[in-house]
Amino acid sequence: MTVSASLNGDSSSTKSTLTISTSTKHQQPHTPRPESSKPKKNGNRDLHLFLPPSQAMIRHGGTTISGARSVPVSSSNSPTEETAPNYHPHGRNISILDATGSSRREGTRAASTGHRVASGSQRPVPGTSEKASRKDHRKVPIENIYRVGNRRECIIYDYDAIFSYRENVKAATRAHKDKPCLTRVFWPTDCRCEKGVLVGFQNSMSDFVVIAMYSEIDVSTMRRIFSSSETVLGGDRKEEKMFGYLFDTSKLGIVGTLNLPVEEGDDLPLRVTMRPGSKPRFSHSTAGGVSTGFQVVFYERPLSRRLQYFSFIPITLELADRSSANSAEDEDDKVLKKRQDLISRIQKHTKFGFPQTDEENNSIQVWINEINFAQELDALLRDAVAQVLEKDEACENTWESLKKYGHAAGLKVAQGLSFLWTATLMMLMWVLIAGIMVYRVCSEAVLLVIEWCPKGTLPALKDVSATIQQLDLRLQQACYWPIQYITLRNQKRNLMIRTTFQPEYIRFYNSLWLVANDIIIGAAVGAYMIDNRDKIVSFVDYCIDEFLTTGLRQTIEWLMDWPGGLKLNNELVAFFGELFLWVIEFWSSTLRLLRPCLPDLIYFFGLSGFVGATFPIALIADLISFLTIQIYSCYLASARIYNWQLTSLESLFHLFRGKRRNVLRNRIDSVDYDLDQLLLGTLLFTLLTFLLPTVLVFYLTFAGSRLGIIIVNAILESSLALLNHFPLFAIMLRLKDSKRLPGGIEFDLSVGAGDAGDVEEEEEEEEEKSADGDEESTAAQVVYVNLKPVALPIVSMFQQYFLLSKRIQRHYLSLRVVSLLLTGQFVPIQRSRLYSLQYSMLPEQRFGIKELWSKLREFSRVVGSEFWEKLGAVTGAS
Amino acid sequence: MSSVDSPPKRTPRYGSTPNPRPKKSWRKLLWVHQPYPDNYVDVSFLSQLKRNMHVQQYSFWALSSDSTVIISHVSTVALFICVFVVIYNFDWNPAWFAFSGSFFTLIGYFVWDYLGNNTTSRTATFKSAVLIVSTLLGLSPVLKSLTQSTSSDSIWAISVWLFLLNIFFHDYSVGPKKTVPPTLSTNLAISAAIVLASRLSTTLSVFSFLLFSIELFGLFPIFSRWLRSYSFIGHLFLTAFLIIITELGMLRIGGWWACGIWLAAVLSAALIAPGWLIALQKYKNEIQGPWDPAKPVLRNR
Repeated sequence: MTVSASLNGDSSSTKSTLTISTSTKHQQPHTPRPESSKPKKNGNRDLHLFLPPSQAMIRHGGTTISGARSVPVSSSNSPTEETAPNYHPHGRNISILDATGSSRREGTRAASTGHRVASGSQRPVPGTSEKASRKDHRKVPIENIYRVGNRRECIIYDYDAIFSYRENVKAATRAHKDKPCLTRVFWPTDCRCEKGVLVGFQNSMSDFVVIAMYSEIDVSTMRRIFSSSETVLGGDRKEEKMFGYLFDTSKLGIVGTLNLPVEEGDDLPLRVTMRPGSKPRFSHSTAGGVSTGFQVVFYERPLSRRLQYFSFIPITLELADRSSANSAEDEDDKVLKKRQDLISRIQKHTKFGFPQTDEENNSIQVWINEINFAQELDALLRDAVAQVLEKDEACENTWESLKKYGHAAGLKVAQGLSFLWTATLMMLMWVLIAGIMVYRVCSEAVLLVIEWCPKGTLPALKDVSATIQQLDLRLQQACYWPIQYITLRNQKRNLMIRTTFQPEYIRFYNSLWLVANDIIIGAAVGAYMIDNRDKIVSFVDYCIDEFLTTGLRQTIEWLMDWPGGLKLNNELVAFFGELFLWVIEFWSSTLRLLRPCLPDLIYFFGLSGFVGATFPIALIADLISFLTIQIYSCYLASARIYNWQLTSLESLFHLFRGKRRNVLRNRIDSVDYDLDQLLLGTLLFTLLTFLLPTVLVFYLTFAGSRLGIIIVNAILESSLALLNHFPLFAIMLRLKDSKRLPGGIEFDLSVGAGDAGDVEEEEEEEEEKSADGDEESTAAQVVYVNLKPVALPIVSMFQQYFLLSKRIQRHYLSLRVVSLLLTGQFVPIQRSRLYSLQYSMLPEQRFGIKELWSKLREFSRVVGSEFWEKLGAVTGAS
Repeated sequence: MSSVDSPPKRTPRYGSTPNPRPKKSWRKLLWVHQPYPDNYVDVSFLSQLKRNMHVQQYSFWALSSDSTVIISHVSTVALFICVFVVIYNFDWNPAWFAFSGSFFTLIGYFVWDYLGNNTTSRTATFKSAVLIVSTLLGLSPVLKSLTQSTSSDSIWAISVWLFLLNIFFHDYSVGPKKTVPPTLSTNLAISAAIVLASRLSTTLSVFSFLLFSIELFGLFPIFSRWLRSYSFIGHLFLTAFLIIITELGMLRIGGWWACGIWLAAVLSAALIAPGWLIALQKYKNEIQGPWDPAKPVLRNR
């Protein structure tokens, strides 16, 4: 049995066409088959593609073909069955598995692109083998999913065949330009099975998106609604401005009828019949009857009130400019970009499938957009319909009128409540605005102090201390909140541009939630610290004594006494030991002076917990850095000495060999040194060589202890990052309603139990209808496909964390760092890089005071107008 | 290659059908088609081979006079080791060696200067001398304690290796070209001397010993090289003088045994080794031919 299915994005131009030939059953579809080119006609149990599949694979990055196993379905532009033999002029069949490979199964979930397209059809071939084949259909598991990934290496192997196929397709397209072969209809799943009018978008001659069905109205009244100036969508179109940039309003209209007799609405393109419990069946009512097939895509209307929406692209949780800026910083990403550039250049010189036009690319975006507004438009239209009906006929029924009255009462209560809210907002607004402005000015002053870089290379305050960094973050967040809130409010009024609104919404509430959480945890931690102050103080005391004073002293004394049998230079060891002991002694005596303040300090830490748990943590990190200054200074000194010694040893070694480094040419030349130079150099070389182990031992000791402190601080700071940036709100949303976090869409072939019968019936009907024996109409069938939203995977919510850990790995676990450590050079700790995660939710440049002021004024004006409006509504109604 | 369906050609195949009487004689040209198999080797193939074209015939006395250069350097090293042993084991005063070394150095300098070979100014020489002496003075306390914690055995091992390397890397060429001996061997000798000096007990002995070592390894090679090119008789006298002093040192540190062995070594290097080399000449087998890279012939002015 030969089967072909087609992937079709848009009807207007050439599209990737997937022709699948299959035998009745495929048990192991993913097993690679080495012998590819000529499958047997019968008994071959693998799914085969004619040449075109490779194009489908190329074009659609992560395409999923699921359950493709039947009858020809062709798109409007792709050739119909009679031209089908021409696609594969060489009669070549290529196993899908050769083209796709089993590797395609993994890694093509393709959540990043979120693009899964499924296509296929189900229809027994008319004839003698019909029953047998239907039996086989039942056995086949529906979930045979073939993933066609974006691995390109193994895909293309026969350019000539592909291009001759392509020419054929073009020719066929040209031939069928006026005769669409396949009509695609998006059908809402909640459409009731009644008689009524179908309203939706008509994107092209053969491409419909059905929005809703209105049962209590007839076609002519509906037309009146669309044409009259009184209703929302008709006439002067008050809302056109609002809708205009969202979708093409001219496409909106009546597209067909449901279960209505033929004579009514004869000029409408769709005529649908549906029985309860079964799927809708379609036929064109347009004259000519050219249609050969329907592709029905069921979709569940996203509820806009619950902020659900479909999206082709996964939602991004961080700010766009941030993410791009971050990636631009990374050298690795630069390399990646370069590589991608090269790939695209190579592709220009390679024959790779069809070129994709903008229209093709956008079509998917267009209908996703339309689907997203389906529910809202439905509500608007229902209002309009209700208005019209009210005018037309008075209430016949008391029950009806009662219902209406109750509804009106509820509406009134809601109106009153929202009025009250606006009124309170109105009253509090000026106090709020004044408070926000005062706060903003104060925080601006603090931020300026914090971010002030003293001249030269000295770091700013916030780069030195974790506490100040934390303060900076909180202040910036608080500065951003009012603006975020105003933006959200405005967007809400503007009928929700969901793709931009929702991430903003998540960001705003995520940061609010995190701060609230932080304060809750912080209060607990702070109370605990205050209650157990004495224990903490004694613990800190113990740590200072044990590690920072006694421990260090003992270590140095051990070093001075030939540690582990190492033969160090006695005099130098004594000198270094004395020096470092003196530094440590000095610092511990200073600490002794500070020790009485320790209880107060811990108390203060505890108090700071009430501002947020991040503050005690940051303070502890700073305290550790402060207490271990002596280790840091010893490390700096020993590292300097060690590094200096290494570099001088290197140049003296060159002298020893009679060579010298030529800086100008960056190479090593041989030189004739003078005798005195030689003698001096050799003297120093021998000297330094014998002294090196001593210095190295001291350096390693201090570098090790410094590393330990850095690790402790890193742990504290990563806990800060968790508290500050955890995608709490997004995870909650994901658990509550995953449709609010779209990560793509998925097409799935739907095969119901009673379908075969349905199709059969339909066929019979059609045959009856087209009694003149038109061959094209007998070939007509319907493909049912489910469109499902794919939720954003949890992994991608933590994308930032992965990025950060990758960056940290690259910076601190590299050979470069090891070599820096071994040669005693300074290993830079780039705080700003570590903290880039924390700032990823904030804009690069914080909003200025003036901007905030203007936004607040605008906001007050908006609230004022709202207030008057609502006041008018309440008084007018009562 | 011809495919199956095309008719076979009647051309003779060189490899497969041997021709008993080739018309042309074989030529050693790869790019010409010739009626011979690929692996054919003609009688004339190695006719241009030549053996031992450039072998030099050595004369015994020339060889033995040249060997004095090596003997002189090895004797210097041996003398230095003797001096260290005498100071370290027999408590001789190193200042004495420093004085005598400086005395001889001054004599050598004046002779060198008088005979008009001096290219550097006297003040520059004096300056660098002062610099080195003062640096040595300043560093000797540090040098004294440098290897205090290291065991003596490892110091002996290090110094033996350094001296061996010094002997191998020394520049034994004859000629007045270079004023400064090759860097590496000098440096190796000096660092061996520093390592040994760090074993001595007082700062003054370290200083004197290092001064002596600098004179012996830094300055003496310059003088001896100059002398070698200036008058060979003088060089012979100097070598004899060195041998005698070394013999005395050996006698002092190791008795007659060491003295005899050293004398035997010197004699074998001067007399037996050249004879052996000449005897080995008959085994020489060098091959030359037109396939060698061409050598440019330089005409002597």
